[in-house]
Amino acid sequence: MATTKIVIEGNKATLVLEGRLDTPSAPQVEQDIKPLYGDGLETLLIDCSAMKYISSSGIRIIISLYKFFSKKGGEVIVKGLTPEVKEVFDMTGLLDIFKIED
Amino acid sequence: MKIEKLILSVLLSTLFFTAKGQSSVSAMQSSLYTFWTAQSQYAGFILAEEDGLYKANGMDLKVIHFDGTPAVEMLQTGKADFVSLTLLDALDARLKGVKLVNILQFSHESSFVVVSNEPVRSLKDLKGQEIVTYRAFNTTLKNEIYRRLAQNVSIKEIYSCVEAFCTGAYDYVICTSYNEMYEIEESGFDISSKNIIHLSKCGLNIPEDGIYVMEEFLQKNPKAVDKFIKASIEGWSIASQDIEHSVDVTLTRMERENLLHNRYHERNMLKEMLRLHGKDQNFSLTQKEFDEALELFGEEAKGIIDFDSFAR
Amino acid sequence: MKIVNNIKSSFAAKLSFMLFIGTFIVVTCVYAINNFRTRNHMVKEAVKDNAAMVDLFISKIGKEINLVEHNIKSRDMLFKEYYKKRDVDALDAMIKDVAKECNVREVFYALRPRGERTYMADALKEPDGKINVMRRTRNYKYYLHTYYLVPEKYQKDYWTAPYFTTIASQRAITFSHPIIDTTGDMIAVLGADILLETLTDTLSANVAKHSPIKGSYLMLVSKDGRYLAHPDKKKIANETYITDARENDCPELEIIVRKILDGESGNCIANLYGQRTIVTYAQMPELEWGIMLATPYDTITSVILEYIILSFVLMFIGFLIMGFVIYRIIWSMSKPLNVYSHASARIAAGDFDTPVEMTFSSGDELEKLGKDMDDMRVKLKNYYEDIQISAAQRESMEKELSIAHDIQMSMLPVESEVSLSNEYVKVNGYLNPAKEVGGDLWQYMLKDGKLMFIIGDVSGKGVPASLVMAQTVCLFKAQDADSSPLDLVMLINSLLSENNERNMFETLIVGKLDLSDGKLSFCNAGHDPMLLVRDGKVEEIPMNRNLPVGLIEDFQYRIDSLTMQPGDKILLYTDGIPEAENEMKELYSLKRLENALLENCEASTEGIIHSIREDLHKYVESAPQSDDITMVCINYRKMISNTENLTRTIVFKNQMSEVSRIAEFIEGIGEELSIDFSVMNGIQLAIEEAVVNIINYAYPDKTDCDSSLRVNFKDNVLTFILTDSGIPFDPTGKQDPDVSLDISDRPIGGLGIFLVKKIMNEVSYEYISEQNVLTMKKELKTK
Repeated sequence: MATTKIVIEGNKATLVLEGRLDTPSAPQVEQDIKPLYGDGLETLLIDCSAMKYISSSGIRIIISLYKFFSKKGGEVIVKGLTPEVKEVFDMTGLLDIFKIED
Repeated sequence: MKIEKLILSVLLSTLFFTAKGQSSVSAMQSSLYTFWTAQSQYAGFILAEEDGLYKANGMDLKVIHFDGTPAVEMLQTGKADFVSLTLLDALDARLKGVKLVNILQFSHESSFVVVSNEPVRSLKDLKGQEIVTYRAFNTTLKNEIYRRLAQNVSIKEIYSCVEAFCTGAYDYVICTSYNEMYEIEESGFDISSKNIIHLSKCGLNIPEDGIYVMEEFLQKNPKAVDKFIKASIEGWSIASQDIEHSVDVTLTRMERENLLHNRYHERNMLKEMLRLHGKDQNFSLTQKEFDEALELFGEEAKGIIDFDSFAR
Repeated sequence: MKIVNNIKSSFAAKLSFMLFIGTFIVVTCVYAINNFRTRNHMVKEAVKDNAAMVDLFISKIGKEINLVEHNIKSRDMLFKEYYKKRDVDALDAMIKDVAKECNVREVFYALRPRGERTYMADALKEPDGKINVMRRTRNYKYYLHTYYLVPEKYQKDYWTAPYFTTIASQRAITFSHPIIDTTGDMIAVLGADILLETLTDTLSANVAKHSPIKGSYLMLVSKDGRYLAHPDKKKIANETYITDARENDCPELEIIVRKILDGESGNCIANLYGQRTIVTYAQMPELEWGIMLATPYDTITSVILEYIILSFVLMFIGFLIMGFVIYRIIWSMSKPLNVYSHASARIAAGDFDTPVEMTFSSGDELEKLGKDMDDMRVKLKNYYEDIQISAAQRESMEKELSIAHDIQMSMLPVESEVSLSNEYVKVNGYLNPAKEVGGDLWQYMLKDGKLMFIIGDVSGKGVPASLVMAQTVCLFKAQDADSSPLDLVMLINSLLSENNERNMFETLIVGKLDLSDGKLSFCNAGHDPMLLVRDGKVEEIPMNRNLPVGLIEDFQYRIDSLTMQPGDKILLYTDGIPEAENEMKELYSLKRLENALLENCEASTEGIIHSIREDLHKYVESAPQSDDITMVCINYRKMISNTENLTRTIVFKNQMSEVSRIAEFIEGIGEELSIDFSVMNGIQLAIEEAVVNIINYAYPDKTDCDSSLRVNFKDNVLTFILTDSGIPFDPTGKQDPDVSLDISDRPIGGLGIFLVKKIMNEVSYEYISEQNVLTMKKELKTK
């Protein structure tokens, strides 16, 4: 199961994703990250360093976040991808879209 | 001492009771009259009466004391069967015709002393002096003193001669050694050998007290006289042996007679009386004494009285 | 006794008793000195008073005497006048007058006798006050009495010595005055008698009445030495001072009276009648009497004694009262002590809540003591509460520690379960801590076809040991399949040696068994060597012992290796087993362990452990376990071969929760085949996407339909066959999303099958007998 942690400082938000972001846990995560879909946030940092696994459901959540932020001119940064997750990002072409930080 | 007394009193009381038993049949009332008030001068007699010696000898004898009546008168009137008198007084009375007889002599020495304010040695020192003495001083003796001092002396018989001497009113007093002499001493006057003359030592040693009865009484009651003599001698004997007892008895008598009395004085008097009586316990008048006394009365007196009829 | 105990036990009583005694002694001393002074003072006062009284008597008697003398003497001229006239009546009247005017018994005149003729007249005062004049008879020879003789002889006034009157036997003295005519001859004596009692009796009464000291007495001595007044009435008149002094052995009396009669006056202390007596004496000038006022010393002393006793009694009572008052005062002042005593007893009994009573306010040390005591109580209370808190804290800490222990123990494999068992290898372990938190540890893990294991014994016990243990286990767990046992040992050593102030150390064996070829590499850090069971034999595996970790930071450990053959077993144990003692304190020993192992060499791993435990238990019996006991048995079954077949099947419902179960299933296969984590991750993702596809779409209306996943491993190819009886759907037929498109242009869905295709080497779909069959193949790279 995946857990989420959200830290909002001014217009900058950090989303920490931990554990297995698989299909069964996706609905809960979607619920948890709702605060990110608010006004005033410009930058989102997604910390994936503790995320071991991601499925397509997880990818979808991240993509929808990206769409929301890029629509209002914001920025989404993905940080700390494990090799396994990074591979999934690669396979789905997300590595080219997101700004990736180690 | 106490035990002796006890034994004595037991002895005496038994004697008393036995005597009473005897006398109840033939007890005769009699009396001894002393020519002066009660004092240790008569200790033996008072004691003999008080201790019941007369009764023990079958006599009912009372010792009565001077009440102003001359002793000779008491004897003559029969108011007293026995009287005490000085030898000179007795001789005087006999010469005057009173038939009295000496039955007992308890003085063998003259008691007269002259006490002086000034030092004196002999009778001769009294020449030209006024001497006081008590009332009824024996005239014979006084005359003899006058004679010896060639009338160059005045002897005044007064009341309170001791007071007169002691207060200094008079410088000389003739008095008895057993009474007045002590009184003088007792009032604070110091008597020493220097201011006293004993007549006994001046050739005037006339025995004094004796007991006299009428010749008639003697002839009628020779036994009573014997008993009297016996009891009286016993009395004196006890008095000489137990002075304090005797003084006690005398003081009791004096108190009863309302006389001034004190033990010191009475003891001294008793001792002096015993001294005058002499150590040999002689209760009889001697021929010698008789002769010496009679000498004072002159030659004619010798023819009137003879010793044998005078002394028993 | 009770009183004494009371005094002993009560501070107030003790103090007041001491005060009482002390004050009593001091005051008694002062009193004694004062009494001594008082006595001397009283003696002086007595002398003074007596002297005053003597003077008073002399003047009183003198007054009477003078009155008589004056009355008589003043008639001298008149007498002569009447005498000349031979006026007998006038003379009678005159003596009558005199008798009236003074306190006399009779007044008389006596003419100087002329030959036989005498004449004396008396004015005699009757008791009723009538005065009769009578004439004396001739028989009364007044001229032979001293009252006449002496004035006649000396022509001076004269007071006679006392004498008894013939009437009523009263004692009297007579004053006589000579009447001297012009020629110097005494013509008569005029005089008067005074009754002695009128003079003396009142005096004696006066003494009794007025003398300040009872027991004082008066003595009057006439000029002839006779007593006129004396405390012993019998002596009056009867005795002279000489007879009295000599009879009663009182020489001093004689000396004093002689002095008086010589005209001296004064005072002295003399022994009279056996008593020390203060005598004040004087002579009456007119009568030449001696007067003595005597106060026995003893009566003064007895007066003082009486006074002393009285005041002593009063003082004693006063002291008792004072003692009682002092006692009460001290008692009330020291009441706090009682209160404090009770309070301290209360505090000692643990009652910190009741304040020390401070119902008084003396402002002295006692009050301060009370306050201090209360402060102490408050501090004790706080301290006690602190202690309670810290005790609770400690308790909670201990609880936490116990939790910590549980956590630590949970880091170790549970003894009872078969820890690991597959066709290649089997591991069983047993750990029995001697105390709550032990120092023994063991752990294993299987990673990529490699079995890594560790057994260790941390020196010491308790929390520090367990922390080291935990650290060791953590470090062990953090290893990956490539790391060497030597690296781990070196790491643990360096970490433990660093700042190892407690000199903690631990013995360890870390091993790594490559299941694919049976190659065992291991590093022993001072631990007991492993035993090898091979072909029905037991042997000690030769190895470098090295040093326990934690001793020398940069110690160079050496690694050993051994190739295990399938069927080989190794036994690891801690020293708790060979060093276990029976009741005879005899060690279980390695030999016995080897024998036990040998006897059961054919048994399974759990059988071996069980047997050894039994044997050990039998040996030790009821002796207490002194050390942790740990043993681990590893059985290498067979080599992992790539040509081997593996087939697994899992049936699942069309529920999303089944995804996790399938993930675990896949993971198990990965572990079984020692497939790399990254490869497994991709497989997991692909299978999930495929499964989710079926769950989401195959049974639109039903919720409880079975689908199955069959996995087959052969020739390094993993084949996954997903079978469901849902609506026919070919996921492979779906067009792949264009991942090169800008994200905003891309649809959100459609990635699942894309990913499956991407990960799997081969994906094929068939619809066979109303079942959708999706076959996915993944080639595993050989190492």
